[in-house]
Amino acid sequence: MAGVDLWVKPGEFISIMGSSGSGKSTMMNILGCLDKPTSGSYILDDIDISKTPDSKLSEIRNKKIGFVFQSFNLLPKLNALENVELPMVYAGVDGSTRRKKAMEALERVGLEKRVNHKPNEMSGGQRQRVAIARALVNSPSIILADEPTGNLDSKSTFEIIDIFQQLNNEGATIVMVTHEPDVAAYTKRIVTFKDGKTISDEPVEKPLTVGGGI
Amino acid sequence: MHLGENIKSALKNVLGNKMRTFLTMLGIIIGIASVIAITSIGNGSQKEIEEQFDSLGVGRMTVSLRSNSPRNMYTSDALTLDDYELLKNCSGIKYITPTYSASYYSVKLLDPKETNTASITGVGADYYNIMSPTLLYGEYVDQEDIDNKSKVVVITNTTAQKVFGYCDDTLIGEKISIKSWKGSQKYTVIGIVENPNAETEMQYEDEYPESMVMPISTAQRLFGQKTLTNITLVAEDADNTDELGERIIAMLDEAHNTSEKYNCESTTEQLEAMNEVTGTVTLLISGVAAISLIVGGIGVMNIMMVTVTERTREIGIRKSIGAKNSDIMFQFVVEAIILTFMGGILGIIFGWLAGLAAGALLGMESVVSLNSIIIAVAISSAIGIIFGVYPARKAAMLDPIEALRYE
Repeated sequence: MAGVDLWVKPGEFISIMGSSGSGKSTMMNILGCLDKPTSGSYILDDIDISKTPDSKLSEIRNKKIGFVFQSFNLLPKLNALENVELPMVYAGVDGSTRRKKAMEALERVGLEKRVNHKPNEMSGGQRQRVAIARALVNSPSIILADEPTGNLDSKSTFEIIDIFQQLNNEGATIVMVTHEPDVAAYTKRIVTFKDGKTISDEPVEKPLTVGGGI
Repeated sequence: MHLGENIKSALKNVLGNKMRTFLTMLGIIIGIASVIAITSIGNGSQKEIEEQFDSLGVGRMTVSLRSNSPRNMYTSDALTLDDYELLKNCSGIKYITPTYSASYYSVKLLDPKETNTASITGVGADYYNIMSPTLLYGEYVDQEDIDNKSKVVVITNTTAQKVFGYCDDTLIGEKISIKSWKGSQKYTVIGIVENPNAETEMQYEDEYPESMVMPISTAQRLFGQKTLTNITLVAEDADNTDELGERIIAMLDEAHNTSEKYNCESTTEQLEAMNEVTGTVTLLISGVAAISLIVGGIGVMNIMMVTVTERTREIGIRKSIGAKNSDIMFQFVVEAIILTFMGGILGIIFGWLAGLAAGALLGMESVVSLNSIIIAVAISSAIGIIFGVYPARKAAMLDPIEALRYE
């Protein structure tokens, strides 16, 4: 990856597109503080991540970043509530506050009736909603979604996009990697990668809205 | 991450795969169980020895001729009543008695019923204070009996049962016949004591000689001897028997104008020697058992390595949502400790049962001390830490990107 210059402003909803090997995964790893750029810098909320020691990065991941993965990445032995509580466990939040906030997050994604279900007792769409609840529970600065709809049928895909749009309307900053132009059309700005470079960075004139669920 | 959360999630993982957990713990269970069983038997036998010595008395010393003297023995070396009179004036002695024991003479009890040979001990007046036997009826040999060379005996309750067929206070004043090479003579029973070895003697039934006590003067006359078997005494200060023993030997050497012929053994020394032997044996066998603990620890490490590999993805997920390296490290160390700690607890239970069973089989007492439980728990937890740290470090050092990609 070379010469990428990307500004993400608070409240944006960006999709990153590009074929495999185009550098978008590396971009996501750097944005997620899982990796550091070999040269150049990454500033998140006025913190220069490229100069932050590894020991501090986990705290930044915990407090400022919410991950949503293609393969959900929920812990299979924990139920929905426990999975959502986990980031707060590492943040050192006490038990009752954790349960309250996790319940709120699950209500926000419409899963208040599934809190005691384990991941393997839920559909793909439901699992991804648990993952979104987990991502937003620590009120992060940015939510990073790596092909969040890649493993979902179209009905679930629109459910997830609807949730992202609602979160974005409430002020959340979201960066989403996707292959599908149909999905990207729901975001406010599309950045396209090729061979480690951004080849286009354009706002979406009129983002589609799921509106009331299709 | 909070310790309570960590333990809860570790328990969930450990109990989630019961068979594997049990097999992993097996090495620790066997190791701890064998150490507990062995030390409980060791403690039991030590306690038994100490009780025996307690009944013998603390600070008791026995002066006798050395059986392993490098010098030629002469009849003039033998201990006599003169030596007893000499030592009586020695300072630092609480009680002292001459004894003459004859078990090998053909002495038979005749009247009213013929029984076995007898083991006769002639004693001084202090003998009662030194041996503190349990006097059931009548009285013990006193100075007057010794001065008068009275023909009196103190018998045991088991002898009374065999000779008279019963045992109560009406036997005091009854006569008993003792047949020696000099012919048969009648002695008056003045006291009956409880036989401290009744249980052992029961096993040998009639082969065991009937033990009885009579005045030293009477015994010497009965056997036609002027010598003593030994002189038994109790030191005023039980912790300082070495110095007293040296003084006594010096006095005897001077009186007999000789050297290296007398021996002064104290129960304190014997107890220490015995304890050292059981202690060494227990330690040695425990050492062998400890090897299985090391093997068990390696088993735990092996399974933890497998667990870390299996849960690579989980580690990646935890790291991506904010787990620090130290959180991951801690999580896996706690899991290893829980494995070995539970193994330790089960080991204590099995070891305690095995100790009881072995004790019952060997006719020994088995004592599980609080100490050995604390040590077992500490050792098994320490094994968890020692053998858990390496796999946990491996988990903590995993690159989150690689770990998330792991299938």
